[in-house]
Amino acid sequence: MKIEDPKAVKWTLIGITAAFLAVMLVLPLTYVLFTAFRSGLEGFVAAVTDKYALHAVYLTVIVTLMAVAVNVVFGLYTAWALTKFSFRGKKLLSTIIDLPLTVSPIIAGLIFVLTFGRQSVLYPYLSDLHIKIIFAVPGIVLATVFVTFPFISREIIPVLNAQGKDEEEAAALMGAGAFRIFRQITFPHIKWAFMYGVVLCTARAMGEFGAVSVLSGHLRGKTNTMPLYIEILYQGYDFTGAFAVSSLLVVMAILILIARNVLEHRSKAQYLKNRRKA
Amino acid sequence: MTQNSASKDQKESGQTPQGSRQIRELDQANDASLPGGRTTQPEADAAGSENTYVELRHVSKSFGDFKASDDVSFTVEKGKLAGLLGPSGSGKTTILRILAGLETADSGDILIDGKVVNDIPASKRGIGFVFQSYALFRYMTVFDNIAFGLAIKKTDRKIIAEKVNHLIELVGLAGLGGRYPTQLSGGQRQRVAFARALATEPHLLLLDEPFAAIDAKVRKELRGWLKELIQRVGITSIFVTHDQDEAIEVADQIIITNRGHVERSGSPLEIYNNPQSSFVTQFVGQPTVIENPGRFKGFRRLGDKGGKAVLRPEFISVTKIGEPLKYVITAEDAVVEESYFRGGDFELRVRVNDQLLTVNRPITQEPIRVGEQVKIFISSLYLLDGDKAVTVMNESLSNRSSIYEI
Amino acid sequence: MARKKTKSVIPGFGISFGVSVSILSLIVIIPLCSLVIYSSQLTLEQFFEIITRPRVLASYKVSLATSFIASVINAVMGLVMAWVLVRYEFPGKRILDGMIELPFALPTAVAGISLAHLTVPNGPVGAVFSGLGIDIAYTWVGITVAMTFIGIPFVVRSIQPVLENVEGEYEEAAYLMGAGRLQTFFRVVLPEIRPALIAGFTMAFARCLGEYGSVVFIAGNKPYETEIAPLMIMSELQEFDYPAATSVALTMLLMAFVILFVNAVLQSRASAIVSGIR
Repeated sequence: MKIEDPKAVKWTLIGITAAFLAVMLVLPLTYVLFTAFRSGLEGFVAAVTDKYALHAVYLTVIVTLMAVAVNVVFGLYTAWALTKFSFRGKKLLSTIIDLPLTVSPIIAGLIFVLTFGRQSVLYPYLSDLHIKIIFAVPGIVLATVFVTFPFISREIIPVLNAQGKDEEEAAALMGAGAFRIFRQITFPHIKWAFMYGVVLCTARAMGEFGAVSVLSGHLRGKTNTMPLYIEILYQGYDFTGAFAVSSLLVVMAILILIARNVLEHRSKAQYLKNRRKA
Repeated sequence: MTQNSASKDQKESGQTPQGSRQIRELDQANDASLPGGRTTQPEADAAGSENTYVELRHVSKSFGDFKASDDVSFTVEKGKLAGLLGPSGSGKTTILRILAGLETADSGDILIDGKVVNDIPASKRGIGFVFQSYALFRYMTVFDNIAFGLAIKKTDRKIIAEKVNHLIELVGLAGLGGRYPTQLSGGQRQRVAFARALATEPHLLLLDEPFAAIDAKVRKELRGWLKELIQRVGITSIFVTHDQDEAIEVADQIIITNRGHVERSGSPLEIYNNPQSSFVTQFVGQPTVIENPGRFKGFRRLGDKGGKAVLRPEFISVTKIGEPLKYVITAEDAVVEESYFRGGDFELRVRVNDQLLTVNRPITQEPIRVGEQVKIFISSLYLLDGDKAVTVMNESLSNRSSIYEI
Repeated sequence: MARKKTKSVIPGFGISFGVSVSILSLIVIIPLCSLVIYSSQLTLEQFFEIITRPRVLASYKVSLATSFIASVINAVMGLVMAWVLVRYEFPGKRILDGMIELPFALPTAVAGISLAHLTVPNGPVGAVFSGLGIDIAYTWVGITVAMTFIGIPFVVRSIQPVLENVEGEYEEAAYLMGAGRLQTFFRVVLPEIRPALIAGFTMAFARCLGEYGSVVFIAGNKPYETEIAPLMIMSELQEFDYPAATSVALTMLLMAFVILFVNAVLQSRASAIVSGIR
């Protein structure tokens, strides 16, 4: 027997949950879409096809792609190093990887300003080389990579740990090289977890506001990503414009949420399969 | 000598039963194994015995299409330790959970101490339950685990401490009250689970596979401990097991379940020597199923019509060529194909009439090698007849050349 | 040298370790070090003078208080939601479950403007509440609402898997010994999920403390009243007052680490009980 709660308790709790999620999540979400179209389709179209809006979309896509690319490389190599080998400092390494999760995005922005800004020891060399990092696109990318840093590796590592390293060892003993082992043996195990991590990373990268806000310098049309552009519109009382651009991000968020649920389901199944084997 | 004791017991229990208790148990066994005979009013039967403490009457329970319990009836006497024995999926745990009140039966009555408890909540039935996994609360110490039921009843702290410490001592865990369950060995955890179940002073103790989670070596020791302790406490107990050795060794009464119904109930010796049903015959002991038993010498009267029978190693004696042989005419020629040393004796696989039989030979006798020609003598077998099984003696042993039932 | 330590037949340690450590250094270690290096240029008096400025102290107070309240709300609601999602079957359950991650997927700035616009006194929700004499936007209440929004997933997702693994037999055992539903919950189930609850609470708390994007729009940012600590850093940065920004950032990092440290201690105590090590 599953000891069950009384019907009244059950439906009260379900009611509370549904009401809480409706007010806290559904309401803000639908309100964005509602406000975006309040002044008609033309207002919406005008707002999202604005030159600056398009540029903000373009920059967001670029920054997101770059952040995801860096994190893919980092996530895969790190997961490989952390799960297939044992070495001194392994625990320290995995702690440092998780560090960005606990750092406020504003502080994330600040540390890059301190590293590459005018008061930094690096600044003279960088300006000699005409490399501009803060208040420019590279700074935005760096800050975005920082805040999304652990997302991919954190998803892969548990799956690889559950899988163990017998298969890789067997392949290595048969003479396979590292790349071949990874491609043919390891990657199939982590496929779904990896994609799940990419989705999380994309979500966070495209929506990052605080860290990017510190580093962008708010040059309209040059270093504005979508969230920053929304801020400018909102503070300029262009609510239709702000919500119109926001609605694009809302649609993206919903798509990400759907992808996330599908992938989570698959990667969980894969994880359980591996664990049962191990 | 094995065959002697077997036949003697058959006569005793089957033909000249002694004492009313035996009659009752046998009646009930017949009830359970013969679907037609079940209408012989178990109510009247139960009323006849004032010692009955637990009784199930026609209890059925389905989960969807799966019939977990199918018209289950049995009784357990006060102070006895009963074992529900059956293969996994046979419905034994469901019966235990229905008794505890963790499941509700679809139909039928559950009686504890003469009262129908169908509608009495589990916590008011006066039972203690030991879960297969023990379900010890991980974040409570041994002491708090045992004290849980008493604390719920708002018992005075002093009394709780007194009782719990007594129980801790009783189960042999003195000094370990402050430990957490994970700091104990499997055997110690079982003792805690046992003490916790006893803390609320139940009149009936239910144990679900109490030894399953313990490694083989400790298991044997714990069995003896549990039996002794239950006797000392004097509590009526029912445990579930799939291990016949465990049931035979520990229980006063065995209830064999198969596919949701009770096949047979009785004392271990009764069930072992007199299995009655085809299922029980093939479940207990060390059975070998043979085809066409009429081919074997001494059983020719069964005819050549095929059929199946069950042999146990103790029904067969093996002799080397040249050793004295009592029943020469009904002895078979056999070849030893395999031989395993089992400690006290050798287990031999011998081929007779193209069938492989298992037979034991004590190590004190002259050894037999693989490939050797030997003589074997089958004293009796269980002839399977539909759901039933009947004992057939070797012609040489039986003065009447007929089949008799038990 | 590294190879000697690993003793693994699997190839690729050198490259994977090298790649992950270099990216980690560039993105996380060097920038974080520059924060430490920069702050070491400050004297202790300077540091204390900055972090004890009344306006800064007020911002800590606002941040800590609102984060704490929001995390408590999330702990309670997270427990209810996890219970509902694990224990009950009802139509629409999968949708509710899938929605929980929305705050991760939705850019914080979008959530921020939507919540702000909803709760200003003449907004759809704000109007209702200002009729009751409660202002949400530009008050502590508003900040708490925004923080509650972003903290939703932490507690739910932390408790859910643990609750799924609490054996039904625990509750049956308690039930057989006469415990009622509430007694069983508080004495048997809650201790099992308490470590996860604490972990979820801490993560939510740390996240809320650092949150910027969703809060700035709804906070109103009145000095001494509704100014959160990350905003303090932001405004000091805009005045190019790097010493002040760094000092506040260091204090905030310290708070985050204290919170995480307390959590780690509590977790290790719980896992010591569960794994049997004293």
